[in-house]
Amino acid sequence: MKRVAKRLKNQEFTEHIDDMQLALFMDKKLDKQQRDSVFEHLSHCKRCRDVLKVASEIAQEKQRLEPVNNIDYMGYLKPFIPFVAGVVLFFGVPMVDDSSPNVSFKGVECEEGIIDRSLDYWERKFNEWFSNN
Amino acid sequence: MQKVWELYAIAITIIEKICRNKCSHLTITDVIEECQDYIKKRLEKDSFQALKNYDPTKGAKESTYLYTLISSRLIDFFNSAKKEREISSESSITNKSYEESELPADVEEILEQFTSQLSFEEQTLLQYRYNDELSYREIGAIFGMTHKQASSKIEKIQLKLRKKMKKAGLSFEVII
Repeated sequence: MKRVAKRLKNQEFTEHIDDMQLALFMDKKLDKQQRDSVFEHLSHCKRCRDVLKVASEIAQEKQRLEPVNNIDYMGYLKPFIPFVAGVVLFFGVPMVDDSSPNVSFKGVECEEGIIDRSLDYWERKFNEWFSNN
Repeated sequence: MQKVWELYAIAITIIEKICRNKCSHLTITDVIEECQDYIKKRLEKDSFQALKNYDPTKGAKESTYLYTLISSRLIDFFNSAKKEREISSESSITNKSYEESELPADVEEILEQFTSQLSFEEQTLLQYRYNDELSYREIGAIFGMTHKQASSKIEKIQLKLRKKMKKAGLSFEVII
């Protein structure tokens, strides 16, 4: 194929594709006819091919250096949502165990799991205890 | 203007890359300084007319316009530096080009016909791949496609030529 490519000659142009036109070409905003005319110039102009090459290199480098701050974390987690919901529903619902033995705290009978009790609960219990004693 | 210099900082890394390939006779820092002055002067010309030429209604992104703006000035700088160098060392240039083996007249004719039938897009792709010696990945990045798409486009051209040669009763291997 090199032999074929060798037949494609480069020409010295006095006028080149302007920056706006090249930007539109890169962003694919040109219609077919305009795009073809850009290709026509590019096929014979080494300077414009180089400009396009360097512009794409700058764009790539810029993309590489930009901080990744808009990751769609929810997007990544979406497949796990049904599984997580299932786990929460199965293990997360508090189960009342009536069979648990009562424990005594300073003579006051209370259920197991005292650690989880609220301040109101303990206030009430102490009031009961003080009123009894 | 700040955006331009931000992009210029990125362009420095590209300049370094180009310097390593093209400007072995100068130190990289010298070239970067020279290039910076050149781009600065070109951008300041006509009170930043080039920057004012950006027209958002046309649809191109501002960043893409800045990429092309900087890269065109970069290439102009290197081309002018190259010309100066060529003039100064014209006498020492030795012609190292070698002649490829000659092809039979019928193959030559088919190749001539084939190249004239190629679309401008195909011609540009071949220029990038075989004359500018870019990889498929680089070509893909330029035209916003994957390296596989770039390679398949070039393979399609090859296939077309293969068919053409087969039709004429010639072997494709002759031109490889």
